Amino acid sequence: MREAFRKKLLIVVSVFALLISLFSLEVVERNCRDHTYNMFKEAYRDVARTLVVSDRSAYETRSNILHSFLSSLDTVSEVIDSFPSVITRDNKVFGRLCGALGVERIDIVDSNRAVVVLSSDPILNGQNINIEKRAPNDPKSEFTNYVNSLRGYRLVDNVVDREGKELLLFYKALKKHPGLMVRLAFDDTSLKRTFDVVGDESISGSMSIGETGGIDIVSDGVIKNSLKGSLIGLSAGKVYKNVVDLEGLKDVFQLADRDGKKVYCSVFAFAQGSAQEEYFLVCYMEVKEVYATRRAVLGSMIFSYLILFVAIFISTSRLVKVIMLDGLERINDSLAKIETGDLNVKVKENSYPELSALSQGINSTVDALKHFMECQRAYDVEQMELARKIQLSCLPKYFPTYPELRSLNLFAMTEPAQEVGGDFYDYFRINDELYGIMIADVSEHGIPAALVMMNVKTAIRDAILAGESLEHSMESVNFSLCENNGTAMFVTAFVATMNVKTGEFRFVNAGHCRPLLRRCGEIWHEEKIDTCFVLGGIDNLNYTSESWILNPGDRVFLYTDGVTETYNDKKEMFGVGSLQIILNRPECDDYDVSSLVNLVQDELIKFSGDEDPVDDVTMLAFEYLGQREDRRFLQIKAQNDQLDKVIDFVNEIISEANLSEEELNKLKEVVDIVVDDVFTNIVSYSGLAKEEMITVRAEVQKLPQKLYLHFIDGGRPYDPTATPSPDVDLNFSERVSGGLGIHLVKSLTDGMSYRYKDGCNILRLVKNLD
Amino acid sequence: MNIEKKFDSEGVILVLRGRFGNNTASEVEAAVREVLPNCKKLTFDFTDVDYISSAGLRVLLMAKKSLGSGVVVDVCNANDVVKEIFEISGFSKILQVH
Repeated sequence: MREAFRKKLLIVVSVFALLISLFSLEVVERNCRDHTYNMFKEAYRDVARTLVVSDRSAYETRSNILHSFLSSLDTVSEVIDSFPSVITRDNKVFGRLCGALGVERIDIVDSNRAVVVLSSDPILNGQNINIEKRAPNDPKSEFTNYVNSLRGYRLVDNVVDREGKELLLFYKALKKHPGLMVRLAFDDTSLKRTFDVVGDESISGSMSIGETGGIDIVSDGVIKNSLKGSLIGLSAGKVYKNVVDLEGLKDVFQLADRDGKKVYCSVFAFAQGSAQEEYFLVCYMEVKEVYATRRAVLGSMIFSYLILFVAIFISTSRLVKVIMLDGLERINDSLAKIETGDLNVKVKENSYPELSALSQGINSTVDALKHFMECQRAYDVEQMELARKIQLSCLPKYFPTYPELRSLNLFAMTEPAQEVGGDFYDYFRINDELYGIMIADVSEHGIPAALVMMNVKTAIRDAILAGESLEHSMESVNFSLCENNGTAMFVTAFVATMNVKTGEFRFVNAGHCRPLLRRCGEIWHEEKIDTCFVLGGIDNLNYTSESWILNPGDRVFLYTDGVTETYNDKKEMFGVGSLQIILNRPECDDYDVSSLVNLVQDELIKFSGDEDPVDDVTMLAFEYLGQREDRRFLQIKAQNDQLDKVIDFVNEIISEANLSEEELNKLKEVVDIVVDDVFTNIVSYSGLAKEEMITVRAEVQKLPQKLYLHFIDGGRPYDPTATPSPDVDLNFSERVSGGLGIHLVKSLTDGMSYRYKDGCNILRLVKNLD
Repeated sequence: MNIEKKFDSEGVILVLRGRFGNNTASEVEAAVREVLPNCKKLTFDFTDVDYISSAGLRVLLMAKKSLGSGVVVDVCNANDVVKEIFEISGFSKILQVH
């Protein structure tokens, strides 16, 4: 996560740095250009100012020159008027005058004949006044108009003399010689110069901009002045190659190609002189100079940006690491633990409020989840417990199930590996002689097996109770199981009927473990019997039954494979051999069947140790007692004076318990109270006639040591367990004396249950002796 | 049931022997009724009592009721089981059990 974050941060920072660098480049360049443009404007203003000043001084100079010309003319005309002889004399005077006045030539012309009368240049004498060629440029109109406006002066001519010198000719009439005019010729070079202000070299001093920049003054598309003299007089279009129309670029800063060099240039318009002649001032500067500072500025800028962004990157990644990433990693560690299923882990990240809030959020989410799961688990446990109760409640759980039955003593137990199981047993009366006995094991465990088990148990029982033979019962159950068996579950079952009169034990073994048999006085062994196929496997099978004739004292032990296939931590199997060895222990001769089953169960627990049971464990054992006198039973008349006999009978049975004499006496005292109250109660409240009998059954189970007492009477249905207990804390005068006996019985015993069956009240009491 | 009556300066002592159950309660009750008049203190000696059932307890209750709150009813030499019965039934609260 940290690396990914850094990568992203680096990319973001780099992009920002690049963008800011580009932006900076643009800003710096713009700045350079703006700066140059400002320089242009500055230079333009300087030049413009200089031009204005030059223009003014040129005007003055021009006036002075003109006035000096005119005064020279005046002087000459005065001299001629004053000394008319001059005209006639040779022209040496004129030569001297010319030298004195700085005049090129003095002519006297006859305006009527248009002839030069006399000239300082003798060649012109007698020549037409217009013999000389006109100069290509006319006299400046401004100048001409001015001279003509003066009285007595006339005409300004601009001619080229025979030596090629350009001359300005001024005329003035001679007052004393009508028809004659004096004409002076001046060199107009200085005058001409006053008109060419822009071309003056003097202004070129203010025309340079920086090192490579300058100003070109352009008029009529021709360069009038430039720092580079060779360019003067050239067409602007030739110098500025890619510029079509300079005038269109006024006040614009743009790139151009000037004289083979890349320049930035701006064009400013300027009107000069009284005629407002328009000029263009083209300011230019070579591109490399415009951007001369760019590299340095940009370099230092980018360098500082680099440092800045590196600092931002380091500090951001550092800060984020300290503030967020470390905290997030700790949160992630906790989350990883939670992910493994430990919902008790709390995220304790309180370094920053945001992380604290996140932690709290996670904690409350996990708590909610935990709560939900606990609720669900509790619900599941409750449901499974309920299912277990329902399943167990459909099996006979009180033994002896038929306490009044003397000839058969049966005990069974089941212990599902999970809450509910697929094993089951059943024991039910078919008629006075015949009792149904079965033990079975549904393949698989858990809820699916439990559901099949309920179905099979009911089906077999119903078939047998409906009077079907064992074989037919099994066949019909097998058929219906196959018919509706989509899940391919099957059932192994050992189903039998026991005739308690004849001792005939008839059975069908459908793939179940073979029963163990112990003939009276012999040892336990596995009897070889015929085994049919399991139930629910293949339909339309025939099932065959076998039978044994049991003699009084014979015992049978039935079990499911959960017993023999119990494993210990060394992965050893318990096995049927171990089972037989345990059952054949000498002390087992004295054990009743319940003690036997309990003994095997204890041994299984010892054997498996901490290994979880993988299969349901179910055992069923019974002893056929035949028609022998059974000392566990006492039949006695329902009379109060019989009480002592009952007590003596019970005391005698109790004496069989393996207890010290002291313990035995104490037990007897307790049991006597119980017997006294129960017997008296039956005699008093059952409505039995004096000659009617009450059956008392008393027996001591050896393992674990328990005393079972059954009182069986044919009187009115009466459930003593339903009697509410008296409130023993009430004041004795308010105490209800009835119910006290039952309360004592309940308090002194460890189990008390009541059934009304076949017209008999059956009260069952259990007292733990260990 | 064997019932022996002893008289001393304080009151009457009934020494009971055997089972104090439904069958014998009436005998004890008769003996108690006999000694009730002018009795200032009634003591039951339980040394040789095997057990006491609810019928026996009823006799003790009758004795306590008849004598009223002014008269002390004592049970002495009761064995552990009998003492337990008195505890279970709440009689230890109304009788003095030694």
